Amino acid sequence: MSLAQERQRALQRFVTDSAFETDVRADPLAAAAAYAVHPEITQTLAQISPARVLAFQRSQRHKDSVRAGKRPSRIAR
Amino acid sequence: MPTRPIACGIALRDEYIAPLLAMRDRTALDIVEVMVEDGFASTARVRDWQRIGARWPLISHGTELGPGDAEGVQRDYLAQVQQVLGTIGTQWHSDHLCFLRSDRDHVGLGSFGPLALDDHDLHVLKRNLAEVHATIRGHVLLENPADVLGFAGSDGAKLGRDYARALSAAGVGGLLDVTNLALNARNDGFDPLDFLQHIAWDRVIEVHLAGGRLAGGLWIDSHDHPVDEESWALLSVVVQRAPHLRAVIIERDDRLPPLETLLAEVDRARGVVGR
Repeated sequence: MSLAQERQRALQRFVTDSAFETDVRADPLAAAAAYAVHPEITQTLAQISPARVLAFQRSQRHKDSVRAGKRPSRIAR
Repeated sequence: MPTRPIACGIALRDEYIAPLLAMRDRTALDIVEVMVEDGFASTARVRDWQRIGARWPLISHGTELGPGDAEGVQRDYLAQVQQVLGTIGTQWHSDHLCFLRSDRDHVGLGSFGPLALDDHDLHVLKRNLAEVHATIRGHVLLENPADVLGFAGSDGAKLGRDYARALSAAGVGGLLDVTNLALNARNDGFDPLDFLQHIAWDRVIEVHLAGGRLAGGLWIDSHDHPVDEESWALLSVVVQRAPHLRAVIIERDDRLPPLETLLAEVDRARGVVGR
């Protein structure tokens, strides 16, 4: 697996799997060993604040709702 | 200064199709941008786009390419894009500089995954865009996305250089979303002008303007508010520096205002670009 691929898989898991996120934050090196991820990647992920992960998830939900939307007229008057 | 007229227009949403087709005055906007994935499953919508295209030039935008996907881009998706583009005839196509799917066997991220834009990512971009260019005929642009995770860092100059390197590696033009730039700068504490000092100006073809909102202490690119003043100020900087800038598009995805409100923003953009 390339480093780019490994980094993307880890980042995707970090923002979608709360158990993985918790383990990475608790001990990035131990999480790297446990999940077979390059330690440089888990150390980078651990520096992302929980608030930013929440904002990313919030932004994602908003985009999902708009995409799925095609709701009846949302034109504000 | 740009050497050609800069077209100003809107990102088309279904709610605006009927009002646009009913407009007698075609001079209120110069160009229309369609969201290509909306055309995949609706021939009726594509027919509407063709009618719009008979009145104004069309450009297209997408959200599901994932040009940074290390697993590679999806060929069936590219074929669908080309089918729509071939039907409606657009001047260029754009998508976001990001990854979307880290594993073909799992559901995609669903939003724009940030790239580190190191040599590993640039190798992926070069490989993927070669495949994109083999399928999609015409120019392709990549947009600087919002990065609410702050994954790419907070050094504005480095972020600008990385964007320039990415466009060069991919062999594509730039869609500079000045609102994404402004929001990233606020969240990460850098000066957006540092970013703009280091991008490849000769590659910038299009600008996006939108409105974001503050959520949980961070700015997200919600596209549900009018264009903010900082974005307007950044547009005036871009217009002075991008010699090949061809279009400025106002985006709104939610809390859609009446068409007239968006056209007033188009008119303001025209004032900034001197059209």
